[in-house]
Amino acid sequence: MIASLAWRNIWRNKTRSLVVITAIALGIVSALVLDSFYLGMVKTFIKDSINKTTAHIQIHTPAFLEDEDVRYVLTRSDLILADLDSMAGVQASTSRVIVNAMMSTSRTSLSLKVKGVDPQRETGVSDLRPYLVEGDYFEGEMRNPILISTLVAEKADIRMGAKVVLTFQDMTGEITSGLFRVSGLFDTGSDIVDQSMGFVAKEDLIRTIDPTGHHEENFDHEIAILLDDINAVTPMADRLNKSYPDIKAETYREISPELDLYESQIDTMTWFYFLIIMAALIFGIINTMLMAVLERYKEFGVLMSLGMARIKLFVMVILETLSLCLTAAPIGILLGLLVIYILSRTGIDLSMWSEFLEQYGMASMIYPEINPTSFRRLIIAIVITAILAAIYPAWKAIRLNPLDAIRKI
Amino acid sequence: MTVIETKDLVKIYNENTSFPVKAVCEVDITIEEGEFIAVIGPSGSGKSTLLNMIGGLDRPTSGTVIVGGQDLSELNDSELIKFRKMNIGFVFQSFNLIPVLTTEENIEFVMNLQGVPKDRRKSRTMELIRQVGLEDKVNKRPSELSGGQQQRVAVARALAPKPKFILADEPTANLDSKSAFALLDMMATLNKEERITFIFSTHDQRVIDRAKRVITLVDGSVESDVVQ
Repeated sequence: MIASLAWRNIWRNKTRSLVVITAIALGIVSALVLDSFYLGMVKTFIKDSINKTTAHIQIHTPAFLEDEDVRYVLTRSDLILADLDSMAGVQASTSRVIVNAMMSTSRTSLSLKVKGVDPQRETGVSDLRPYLVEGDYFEGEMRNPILISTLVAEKADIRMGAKVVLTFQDMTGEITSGLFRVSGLFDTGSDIVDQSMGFVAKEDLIRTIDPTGHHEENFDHEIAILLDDINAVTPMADRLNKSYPDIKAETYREISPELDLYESQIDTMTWFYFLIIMAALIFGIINTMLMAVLERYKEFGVLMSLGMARIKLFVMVILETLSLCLTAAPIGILLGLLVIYILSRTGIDLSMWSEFLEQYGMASMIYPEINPTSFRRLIIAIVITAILAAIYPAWKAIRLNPLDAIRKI
Repeated sequence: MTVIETKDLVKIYNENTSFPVKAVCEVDITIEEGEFIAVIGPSGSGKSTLLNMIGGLDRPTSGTVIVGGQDLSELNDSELIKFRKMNIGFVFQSFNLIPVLTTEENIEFVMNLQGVPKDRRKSRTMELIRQVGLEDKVNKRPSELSGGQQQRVAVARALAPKPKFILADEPTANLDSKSAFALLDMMATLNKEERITFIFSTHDQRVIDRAKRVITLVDGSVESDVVQ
């Protein structure tokens, strides 16, 4: 009976109730959309990071991870790659040679991490082609081609076709140099890649590092793997570590621990926005419910005169507030889902802030994603909001003296 | 059988101020089962205050109110609410029906609070609806009823839980003559046939004329107590 009475009471003043329901629903929509936007931003950031730098899993020797010395090669890289090629769930894999080099031009010198890649396999894991501003991706006839970023080119004051000398340590521990020619300029938008990386063909780099050719078959410092399913990353890394005890397979989260930090920061921020939205709603609901209680002061007196216990009156007012919130919740959720669905198709274009976003490795196009955990959060938040907002008006209602209330009018 | 007994009943408002108002002074009355009593007097004579204390809505400054053998001053607030629910029926001047409930639901309301099973509740409600002659208004809300019809629903609501007595505060004040007479007829019939005790506070001569006993209050004291 109390529940039915509460439900009917909220429709006594339809306009007021509809205004509150609309406000709550809009609050829910904004909370959901904001949350999905942040999730989209995090996912885009992670996806970008995976595609441009870390892949899903990277394999190195433990010694190479400690000290990126050119001599710490993966001795069974061909075996591992063949194994990966036959494994279900592996989308692509590639091996790389990595040296920390000094890039010299006729005018200046700067340090560069040079990755020797197998162009055929590399594009399956980390495709640089979409980011090429000039030149091509190891397709020309040029000898010893190197791809650098427009940023590095600017710093070194060089252009397409310029000659650069890369100096680094070879397998014997001696310093060696090789002449390369800029065959492409890229702009990935990722500071990590653009500020410090250069890409050459693996065989060109091996020729310089290991002129004796002793390690030709197994000359790799890194194997990068891309999986079909991001959720399979940890089990796959565990499996590789068990199968090959002399190597260290790391997930993208282990390689870039800042992703976790970024995620947790976004999570905190989302909670913070949730709190602001809910706090605003609480005051709105309290105001409405207080009005609803005060204008029914006499009626509450009558109910108490007839023998309605204070606790039932309290519960009735709480239920009225809960009814408002629980009516608004599905509307808000459905509307929110619709908005997210549309935005996930169209994307949110933040290109006017692209320079700023690039500094943080973020893409300028964000595709919001529905966050299942945010629903749980949201439902908890709505119930807490409703109860908090209901307590004061309900408390106000039960504090009245029935006689005073009856005399009120 | 004695239903209500008041002993040295006193009510003083603003007691601890420089302007205390003595609303009821040492009232001793005894009301027996089946009486049909009008409590009359000029405005400010203490009629409503007396009824409020008898109904457990207000507490006396001193003296006692004993209803069905229970001294109301011994009950705390929640016990008093429970006592009212089980023993006293109220009819208010301005009807005070619950606007979102239908005639049937308003009458059922107190029984619902009492936890009366649904089938008993329904049969009692339909019986009362017949008694007050509102069979065609079962599913109407108060806003769809006339003043007289609303007051009949209020009487039925008060009667529903079979209280020891019904307190009616100026029940005909907001009714036209026809409705007032119809209501009084109905209450008189219930009093006669079902021995329901009615206590009215009123200025209305029509009510006074129908009452079997008239208690006149002046300045909070009983000036006369006449059986007609």
